[in-house]
Amino acid sequence: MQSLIYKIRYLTDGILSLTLSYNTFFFLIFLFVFLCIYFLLRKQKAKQIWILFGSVVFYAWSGLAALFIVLATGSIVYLAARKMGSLYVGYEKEKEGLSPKEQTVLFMDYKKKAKKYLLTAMFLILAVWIYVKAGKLLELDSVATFSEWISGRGIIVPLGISYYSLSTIGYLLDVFWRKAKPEKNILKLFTVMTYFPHIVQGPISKYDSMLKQLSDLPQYDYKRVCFGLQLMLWGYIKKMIIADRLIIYTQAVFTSPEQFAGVEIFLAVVLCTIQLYADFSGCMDIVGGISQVMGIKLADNFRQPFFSKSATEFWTRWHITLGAWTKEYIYLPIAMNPKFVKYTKQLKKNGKAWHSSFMKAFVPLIAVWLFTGLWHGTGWDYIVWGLYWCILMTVAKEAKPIGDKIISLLKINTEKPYYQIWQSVRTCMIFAIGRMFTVTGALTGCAVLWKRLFAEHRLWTLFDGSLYSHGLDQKNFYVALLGIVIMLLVDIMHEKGKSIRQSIAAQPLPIRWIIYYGAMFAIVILGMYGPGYDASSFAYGAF
Amino acid sequence: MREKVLATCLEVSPSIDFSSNELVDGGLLDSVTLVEIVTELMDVFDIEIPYEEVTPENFNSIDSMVKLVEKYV
Amino acid sequence: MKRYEKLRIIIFVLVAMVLFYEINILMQPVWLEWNNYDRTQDFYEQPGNTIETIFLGASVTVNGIAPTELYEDYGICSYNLGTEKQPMLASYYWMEEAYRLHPETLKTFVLDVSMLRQDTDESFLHKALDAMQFSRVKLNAVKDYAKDFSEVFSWFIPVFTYHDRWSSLTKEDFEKYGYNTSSGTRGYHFALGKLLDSNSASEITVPTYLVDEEAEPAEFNEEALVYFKKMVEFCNWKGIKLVLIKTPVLNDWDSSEHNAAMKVAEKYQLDFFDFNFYPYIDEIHYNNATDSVEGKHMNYYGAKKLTAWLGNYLTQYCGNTDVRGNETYAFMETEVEEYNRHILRAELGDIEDVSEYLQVLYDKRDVTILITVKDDAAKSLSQEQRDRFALMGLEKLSALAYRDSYLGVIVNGEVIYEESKHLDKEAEDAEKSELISSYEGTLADGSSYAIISGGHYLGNISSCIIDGKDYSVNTRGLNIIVYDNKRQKVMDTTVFNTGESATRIPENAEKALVMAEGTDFARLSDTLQQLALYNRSCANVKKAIALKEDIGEDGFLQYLKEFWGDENYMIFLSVKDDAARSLDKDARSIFRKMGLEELAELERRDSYLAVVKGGDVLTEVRDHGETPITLGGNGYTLVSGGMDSGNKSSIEINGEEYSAGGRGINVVIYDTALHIVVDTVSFDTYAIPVDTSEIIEDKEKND
Repeated sequence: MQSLIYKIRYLTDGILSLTLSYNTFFFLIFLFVFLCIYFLLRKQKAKQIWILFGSVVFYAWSGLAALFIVLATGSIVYLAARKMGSLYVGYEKEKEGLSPKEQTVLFMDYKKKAKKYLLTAMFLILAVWIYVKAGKLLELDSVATFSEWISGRGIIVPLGISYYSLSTIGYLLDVFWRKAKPEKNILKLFTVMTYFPHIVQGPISKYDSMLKQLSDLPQYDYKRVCFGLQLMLWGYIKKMIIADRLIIYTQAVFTSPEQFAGVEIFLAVVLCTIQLYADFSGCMDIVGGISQVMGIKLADNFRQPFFSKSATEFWTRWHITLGAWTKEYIYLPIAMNPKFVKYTKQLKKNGKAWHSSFMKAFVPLIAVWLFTGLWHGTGWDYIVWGLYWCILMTVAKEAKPIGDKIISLLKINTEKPYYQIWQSVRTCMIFAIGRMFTVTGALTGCAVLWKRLFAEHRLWTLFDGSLYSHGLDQKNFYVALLGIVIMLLVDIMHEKGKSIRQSIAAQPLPIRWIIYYGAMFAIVILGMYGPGYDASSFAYGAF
Repeated sequence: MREKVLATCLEVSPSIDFSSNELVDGGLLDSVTLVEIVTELMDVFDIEIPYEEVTPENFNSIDSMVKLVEKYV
Repeated sequence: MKRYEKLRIIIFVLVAMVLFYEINILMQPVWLEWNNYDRTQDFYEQPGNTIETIFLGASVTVNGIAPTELYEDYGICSYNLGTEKQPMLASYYWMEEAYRLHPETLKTFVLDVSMLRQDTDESFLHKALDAMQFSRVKLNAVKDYAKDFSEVFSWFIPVFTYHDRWSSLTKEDFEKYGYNTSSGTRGYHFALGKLLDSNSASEITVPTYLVDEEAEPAEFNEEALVYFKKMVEFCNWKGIKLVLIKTPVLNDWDSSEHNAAMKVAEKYQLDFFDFNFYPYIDEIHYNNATDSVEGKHMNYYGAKKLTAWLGNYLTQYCGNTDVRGNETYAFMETEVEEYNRHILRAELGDIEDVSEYLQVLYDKRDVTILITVKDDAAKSLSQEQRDRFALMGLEKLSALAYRDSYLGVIVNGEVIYEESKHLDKEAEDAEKSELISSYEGTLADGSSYAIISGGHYLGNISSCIIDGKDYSVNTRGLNIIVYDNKRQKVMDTTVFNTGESATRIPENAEKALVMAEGTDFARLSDTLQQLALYNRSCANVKKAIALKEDIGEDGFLQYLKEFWGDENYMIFLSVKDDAARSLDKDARSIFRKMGLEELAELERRDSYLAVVKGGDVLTEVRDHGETPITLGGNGYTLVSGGMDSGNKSSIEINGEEYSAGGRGINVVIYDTALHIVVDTVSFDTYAIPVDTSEIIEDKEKND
């Protein structure tokens, strides 16, 4: 009996010590068990409860205290939304028999009341978020000690706080603006908030659409499940084979940039943008695939961003949900804010026409970019990064007429492929330069990068093999390169509108299976995980 | 009323065919143009259009825009 | 549709599992270098409950003990489970595993204590444990070491640990699938090559023979000791005898470590045999020059010696039984056969006559012999040898002329190709490629070979390329490569310099030196000369130790006698203070007879110096002045001062001081063959009379 208890204790301690993140084997086991039961449950209610259970377990693994914070936040959101909803129901009753004009006036009243709940809830969400960000990321001692005093431990960073904060605020605003109905079932709201595929890295989902999907979960469908699994495979390939491989080189350069120069820096910058894309979009594919298996559609977050022809277009293709969120909840509300509109009109009337149009474009934009910068990180480097994009977009807009004139003068045909490619390359360079601000973790690091980039050219490192001495050997570089080429080809096909999974499905069985097995075992063999095999440590030393 | 609204829209964007009933849903008005129209309407009619009223339903046709403006005039 | 889908899914998953399993095997490193793979695979193929003794420890164990010979000579069924740098943790669990499979017959575990000094290194733990089959024992072993759950997991699914090897996969990894592990060695790693091959006598470590009892015992590694204790407890529990040994590794084992091991052995009441020191180093007649590969591991010659000693010990003291003739152990006969095949190389290395060499292989009928000549191989061939060649079918070889090129190929006892080319003098304006003779063919495993021969004027080269690698020794004479058709690998590559001499020196240098007994030193080969010098060094050390024990304070004359006659010894004498008081009439007369006239006349507080070489007194100086006397010579400076003359003694050789500096006569013995000082000692002939009894007795006998 004793040994049985001991065995159980050993097993549970062991399991609890494992990490449950998307690229661990343990997560795959968790997912497998979750999905099996998910499909065995046929009733909607049962499926919904099971998703909630799975998500809560997933979340709890990162810390029970964090789970408590999330659920507390969710409760506040639920209450505020319900309150606003019931206020508006009251309005609907009262507005009977009134003319449209009177209804509008009446509604203004109700809106004022609802605003109180909105602002309270938003304030609480933002307060927790800023508290966590300021405390943890800026490592402010005062915040840390305060936290210790309150909860007896250091600052807890709830998993996905940056993502669920935006989604909940968006949901509250949607309810406030009557774009969405408040959810009556608090469990459903919790489910959508903690939904494990989008809690870690997004996409920033609109709860309204998620709630609707949650009420109408489909049953098992072979084709859909297969496609979902294939999407997951592709995501894992991007993340574990390409991204995690490239980061070895880029990290080596960015942690000590003074040791590198010229082409080494250039290569690191180029590769780190590809690494970021592979990592982030790979993760999106994994969670998108998981959701597809379950029958839920998550919002797209990437749409071949490196094919963008301008900075503006870029942000409609990269981290799409963030751009959409800031547009819908920051840019447009400010741009169409009556007080702001009046102010700019005033400027115009006072003869400052250019001022007026500049303000109209610039103010909402800078609000968006400061927010975006701070959302990513709290240092000066991210603020500068945000300003960089903001200035870039403003300049692009103002300079467009001049640019168009030059193009017509030089008689450049903007439809020709070479020009389109130039536009894509230009966009990539802009993105890469932006990345340089933040990749070393400090603005001083960025300055070093620029200095070292032009200090020497070091072209020889491309040929004499020294490129392969920073942690990524030649063979691994080639694997990464091959991965990048494949990624590019897939993106080209997507840009042309082709669906890869459909094309594969159209192939005969042996070819399909070879592709699947190839992908699976490529991940097992080439994936960057595990302790890593260092042949030299096995080399024979003394006896 | 209707002519004033139409005139304002044309001033913002002369090339668009405003006779359609699917101005937003059909993609003829993108978000940039929409912003301009809204701000112009606010200025021309000296009204305050709250953000939640900026919906596809309210801006899909000139007539719906007119109805909206009348609510706030 | 549903059922069709289900079937597809099941088949897909099954195929995936099979592929996963195969990839796990592929990614697992094989580490063929030390036969780690062979050893453990072979171990599991042994019939259960047959093994009586298991050897554990690091690579020194692997190289030091040949279980098949234990069976051949003593009938003991044993197995060598050592692995490279085997951590104690692994030794312990292999102990458990071995017991699991042979619980009824196991009587002894023999452990080499080297690894008590080392922590558990993860890489070498992998090397030791990876091949252990999945069982309770392995699970416990991994759990014991792994820090957390996921680590345990990755130990059992090799691909998680080793998937990064994809960029370093080799041919061997793919050969795993059809790999034949049996070679009859039962875990022993066969190695030839000796220190003597590439070191001169002065570079080879001489044993110290005696343990320094005063040396502070070294600190052994804590973790290692924990597992050692477990091993002791396990053996006690199961009633198996645990024996500790330390293989001779003169460069890497000292008295303090010995003392520590002794302490451990005493604590747990275990036998401990240290083959680095007396008496055991002599019991196996260990010779560091010929028995060690590179100073750390024993070669085949050394292993034979240690194995024989263990055979005796295990039979007499551990109750190991002689199972020869026992039906259950009939399989051992096959092991013996395979083993002898495996070590055939050693036997071949001892053959001095090339015709005998070829004959032995010719009779085997399952090898391919490739013969190429470089420079000249004919000058010293005897007629007998030529006749034997002819009998084997090697006509052209039989008729080989001075500086001819020659190619010969014998496959499975049949001469399938012979070619020779003759040129009298330097060819003018001829391309090397035109001069050389070459031939290409295919071996048993399908790989191709190309042989090239060039006599003195015909290119002066020998080359034999198999699978891209040149195996030929490429020195003057008959270069021979033997390829084992059964095992499909090169068995031997050697050369007989029949241009210079009909026979060659066998590889077993020790044996060769013994056979050359009586030959003039100058006429020995370089290698044997170095061996002779090395043996002399060892003998000197032993002599010095023996003398310290045997000769008392009064043994000045016995001492001199030990070194007197040998022409390679120089004796330096230097007196300090007063050496005359106890010299009696008998002693003085003996001195006179020996030629030490001045010593015979030595008076109170005289200074005295002497140099003796090979029994001849070169110089003697005696004085009684105010200052010490000095005597200088080739590489040495001697100083002596009696009590009134400075009271000092100095014997400086090559700049270093060697005099014992005591009252009386200080003696330093110098070996001129080895150019080292053998011993330094002091005899207090002021206080203690010299013992002349033996000398007088001898004289009386002789008179």
